[in-house]
Amino acid sequence: MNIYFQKNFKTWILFLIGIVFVVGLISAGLTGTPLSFGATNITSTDSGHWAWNDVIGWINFYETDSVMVKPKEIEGWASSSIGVISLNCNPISNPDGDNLCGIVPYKVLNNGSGTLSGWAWNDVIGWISFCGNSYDNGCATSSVQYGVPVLSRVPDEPPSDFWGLAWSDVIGWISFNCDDYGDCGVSDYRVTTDWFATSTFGEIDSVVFDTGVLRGAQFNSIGWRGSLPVVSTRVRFKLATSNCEGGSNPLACDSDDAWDFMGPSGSGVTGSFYDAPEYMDLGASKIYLANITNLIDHHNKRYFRYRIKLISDSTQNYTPRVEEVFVNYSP
Amino acid sequence: MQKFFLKFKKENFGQSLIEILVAIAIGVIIIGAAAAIIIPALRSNNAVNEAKIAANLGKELIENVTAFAGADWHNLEDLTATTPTSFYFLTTSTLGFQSSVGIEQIVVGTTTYSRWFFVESVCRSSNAIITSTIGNNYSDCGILDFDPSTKKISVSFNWTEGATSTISTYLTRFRSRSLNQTNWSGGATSSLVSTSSSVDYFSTSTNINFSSSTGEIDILGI
Repeated sequence: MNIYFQKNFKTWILFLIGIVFVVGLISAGLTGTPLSFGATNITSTDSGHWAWNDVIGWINFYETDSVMVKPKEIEGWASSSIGVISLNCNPISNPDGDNLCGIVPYKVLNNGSGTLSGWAWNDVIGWISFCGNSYDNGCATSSVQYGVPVLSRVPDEPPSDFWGLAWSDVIGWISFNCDDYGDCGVSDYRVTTDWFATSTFGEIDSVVFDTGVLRGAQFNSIGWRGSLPVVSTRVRFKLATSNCEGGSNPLACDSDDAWDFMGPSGSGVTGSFYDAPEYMDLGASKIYLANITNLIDHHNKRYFRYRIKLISDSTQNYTPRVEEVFVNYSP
Repeated sequence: MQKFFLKFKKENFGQSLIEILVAIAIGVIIIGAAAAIIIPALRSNNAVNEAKIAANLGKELIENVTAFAGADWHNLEDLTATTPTSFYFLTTSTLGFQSSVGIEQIVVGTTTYSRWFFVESVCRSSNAIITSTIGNNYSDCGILDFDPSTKKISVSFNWTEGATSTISTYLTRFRSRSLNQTNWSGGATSSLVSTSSSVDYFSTSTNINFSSSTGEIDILGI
């Protein structure tokens, strides 16, 4: 059996890869999820990756497998009848891998909420302006306000569609959506991406703190000092307590159970976090404090760890700043 | 004037027996009436004194239990919380107050006084109002309504001829400490247990910028 398996090892690996591939295809087909391959988040469906220009025709944003819509910028290049349209000066946005940022630092920018601005480049027609409706940061001289917003079909969910017009001094308007010219139904084209405007977050799990209370402490509150630059940024907490340094709860401490980080809804509720309201304004920073409500979960425990989650605004331009975390307990 | 006294002396030779008996009877009535007034008053005064002593013993026990819990909240948590079937009293030792099961007897003068206390757990409403008391089983008031940091203490006392009185109070686990962290610039470490707030590292992080010169943290890349 072993010899048979060894002889046919490669065959078995290929067979397994094939199985995974087929299962993926079937599941994608059943769920209606567009398939994306490689380093692109542009949808692969035929009506979801084309832009149009009256002079050069179709522009394909998927074929190069490189276009990636990110919260701050777009990377990669699109293909067209006049060759590559580079969306960013960095090496992964040019087919030959050249880093042009030291020469001309161009890129198509994303403000985090999907409003594009800045410039793309083509060797034949030169600059393509995405403007952003602000007449700076990439608007060509024009009396017409133009731009390319990328908007979620359903708020806070993918996919998102490109809309509107970009401008080239040589070839004129580039349309990203059939609705721009009222062509939908006649020619259903648009550029669609899995990216959508949403917040990002960072997270820390603390080391193990020892209260020194041999018979266990009662945990009362958890809070932090720092600042929230805009209202939609947040700082959230979970608390894990134990009578064992390793985090397991049996008194014998002979289990390898992981630390059980809990919010107010108790164990096993992933989305449950303590949200600390403002408690005191110190001027440059504020103190935020949350009472522990599931007291019995943190009753007479000696050790604790906290998990802090910092959440940005949906444009991913603003982050909370945390200067201090404190946990209050009664011995 | 001399004639008058001579006349009086000649006409009064002494008191009759009836007069003496009448005088004695009047005296008995007066004394009896006074005794009827004074004795109950004396008795009442004695009962008041006994009640005062009993109340003071009760108050003393409440204060002792407060000190007992203040020394270590676990002292109170170790007692069986009931409503009320488990009685306790306190004794003193070099270690401070110790709890004992039962009822304490104290003799003051010729009167024997009894005192004891019992413990109940507390349920609170969503707006933190105490709604009821229970035993040790927190599920009796719901896991989110149980307040493990508050106990109701009731002290009862009586004496030989007195009725039992009970006074109650609520004690809380009021002592508090904090552990805080103000610096994360040390980065990730493994299996560290800290007893102080001076640590500048953490266990794990995802997408966190912790390398600021002031030690604070924010989201990486923003």
